[in-house]
Amino acid sequence: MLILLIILIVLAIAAFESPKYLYSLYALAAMGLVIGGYFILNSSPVFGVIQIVAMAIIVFALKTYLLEKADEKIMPQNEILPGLVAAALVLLLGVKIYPLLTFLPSLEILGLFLVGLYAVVKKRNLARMIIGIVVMELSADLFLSVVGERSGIITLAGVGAVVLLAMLVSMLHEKAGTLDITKIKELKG
Amino acid sequence: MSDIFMIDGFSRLMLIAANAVAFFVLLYSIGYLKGHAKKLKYYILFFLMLIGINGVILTNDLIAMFFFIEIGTLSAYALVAFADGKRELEASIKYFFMGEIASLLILFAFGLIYASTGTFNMKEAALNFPLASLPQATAGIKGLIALLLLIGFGVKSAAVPFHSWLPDAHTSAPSPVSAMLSGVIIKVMGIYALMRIIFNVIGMTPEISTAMLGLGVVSILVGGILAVGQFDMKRLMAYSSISQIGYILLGFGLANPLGVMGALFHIFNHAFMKSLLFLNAGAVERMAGSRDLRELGGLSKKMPVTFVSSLIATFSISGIPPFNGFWSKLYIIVGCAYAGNLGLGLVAVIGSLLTLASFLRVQKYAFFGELKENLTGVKEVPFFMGASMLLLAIICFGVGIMLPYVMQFVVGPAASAVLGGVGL
Repeated sequence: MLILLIILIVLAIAAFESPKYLYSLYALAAMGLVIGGYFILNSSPVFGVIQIVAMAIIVFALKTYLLEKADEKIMPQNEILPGLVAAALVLLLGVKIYPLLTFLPSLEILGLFLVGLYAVVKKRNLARMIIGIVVMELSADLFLSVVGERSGIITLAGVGAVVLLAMLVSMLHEKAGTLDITKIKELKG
Repeated sequence: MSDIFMIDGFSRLMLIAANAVAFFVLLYSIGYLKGHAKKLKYYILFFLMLIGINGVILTNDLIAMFFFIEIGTLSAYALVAFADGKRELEASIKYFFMGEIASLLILFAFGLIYASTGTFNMKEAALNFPLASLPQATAGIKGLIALLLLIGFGVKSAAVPFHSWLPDAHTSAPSPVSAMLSGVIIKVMGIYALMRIIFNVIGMTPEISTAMLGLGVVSILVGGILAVGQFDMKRLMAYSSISQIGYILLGFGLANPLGVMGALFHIFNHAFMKSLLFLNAGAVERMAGSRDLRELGGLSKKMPVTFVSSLIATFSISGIPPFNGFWSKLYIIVGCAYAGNLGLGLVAVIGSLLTLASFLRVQKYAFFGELKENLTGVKEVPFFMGASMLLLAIICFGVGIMLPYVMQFVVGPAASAVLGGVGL
C-alpha cells in the first residue's frame, strides 16, 4: 500500500510534466478503486464497471479535445500497455497488505488532492490544469469508496464536468491559439 | 421517495423565489433571443439549470444534493460561455476551475458526514451526530466539516475572498443568464445548501457564527467599495451582488431570530431586485448597443419602461423605504443591535450607502443627463422584455407594501425551519 501511495503521487506529479504518464495514473487508480471497492469494501461490482467506463470516457475526451491541440507535443503513443502492466504489478503487491494498513488511504487521498490542487494553482497550461482537476477527482472518488457506498454517481458527475471543461478549453484554444493562461488573460478578476 | 425529497418553510421560500425569477427571466428571454441561432441549446441548458436548482432545494439526501449542484452549475458554466467569444470562454473556464474545486471540497465534507454518522440522509445524519461515541472527536470532525463547507459553498456563493470568478462570469454571460446566476444560482447552490446543512444537520456553533460574520462583513465592504468604481453596468451589479451576499451571511451568522428572518427576507428580495437590474442592463445593452456608463446618457425618455423599473430596483436594493430591500436590511441591522454588536450594524449601514452610491451612478450616467447624439435612434424594448421587467418591478414594490403578509406566510415559516435546529 505504501508503494502504491508513493507511485500514485509520483505518477500524479509526473503527469503534469509529461502527460504520457497520465494513462498509467488512470490505470493504477482505476484498478485500485475497483479492487478496493469490490474485494475490500464489499461494494457493488457495478461501481467498478462505472469506474472503468468513467476513466475511459475521460481519457477519450482529453485525447479528442485537448492533448492533440496542446502547444507542445504531448500526445503519448505507446505508453498505455506498459502503464497497465506496471499498475497491475503494483496492485498485486498493494492488495496483499492493504487490510493491514488502514490509515494509509487517508494519506493517499490527501496527497492526491494536494498534488491536484498544486497543479491547478501553479501550472500555466490549461491542459495540465485539467489533469490537476482529474487527479483531485480521483482523490474524491477514492475517499468516497473508502468511507462507503454510492460513489458511482459521483464519478458520473465528475466525468460530465471534465468532458465539458475539455470542450470549453478546446474552444478557447481555437479562439486564442494557445493553452498558456498567462498569454490568454483578458479579464480583470 | 419521501426519504430523498422533503419540503419545509425554508425550501418553500426558496422555491417561490427561484421559480418566480426563472419564470420572468424566461419571459424576458423570449424577446431577448428572438431570431437567435442557438435558441434551442439555450433553453435546454436553462431548464437543466432549473432542474438542478429545484433539486437542490427539495432534496433531503447529501449525495442527491451534490448531484443536483453539479447539474445546475455545469449548465451554468456552459451558459456563461454561451456567446463563445474569447472572453466568455475564459470567464467560464475560470468559473469552472473554482467551482469544481469547491464541489470537491463539498464532497469531502459530505463524505465526512457519512463517515461519522453512517448515512447520507440529512434528517438521519442530524439525529446520529449526538450518538457518536467520542464527543471530543465529533467536535473536531464537525469543525473540519464546517470549514470545508464554508470554503466550498463560500466559492459557490462568491463571498469575499472566494469571489474572483463572479464579476467575470456574470459580466460575460447573456443578460438573462446573469440574472439567473446572480438572482438564484449563488443563493441556491451557495447560501441555501450551506445554511440547510449548518443549521439543520451539524448545528450552529459560536465558531461557525464568527466565521460567517467575518465573511459577511468583508463581503459587504469589499463588494460595495469595488462596485462604486465600475463603469461597466453588469460588472457594477456583479460586485454589488457580492455585497448583498455579505448581508445574507451576516444575517445568518447572527443566528438570532431577527437576523435570520432578515437574511431569509433578503434572499427573497435580492433574487427579484438583482435579476431585475440585470435584465435592465441587458435591455440597455441590447437597445443602446453598449453597457459602458461613459457611452450612455439620457435614456429615460427613450426607454421609459426600462427606466421606471430600474429606478424601482435601485430604490429597493439601496434600502429606500418602503421598498422591500429596506425592510430586509432593517431586520438585519436590528438583529445586529439585538445581538449587542453595533459595529456590525454600522457596517451594514455603510454597505447600504455604498450600494446607493453605485446604483445612483448607474441612474445618473445611463438614464438622466443629456441624450448622446449616437443614441437618438434608441427605441423601447420588445413587449416580452418590457412586460417581464415591469412585473418584476411591481413585485419589488408590492413585497415592500405587503410586508406583514410576506413575513407571516413566507419568511416566518422559513425562519422557524432554520431556527428549529438539528433534526429538521
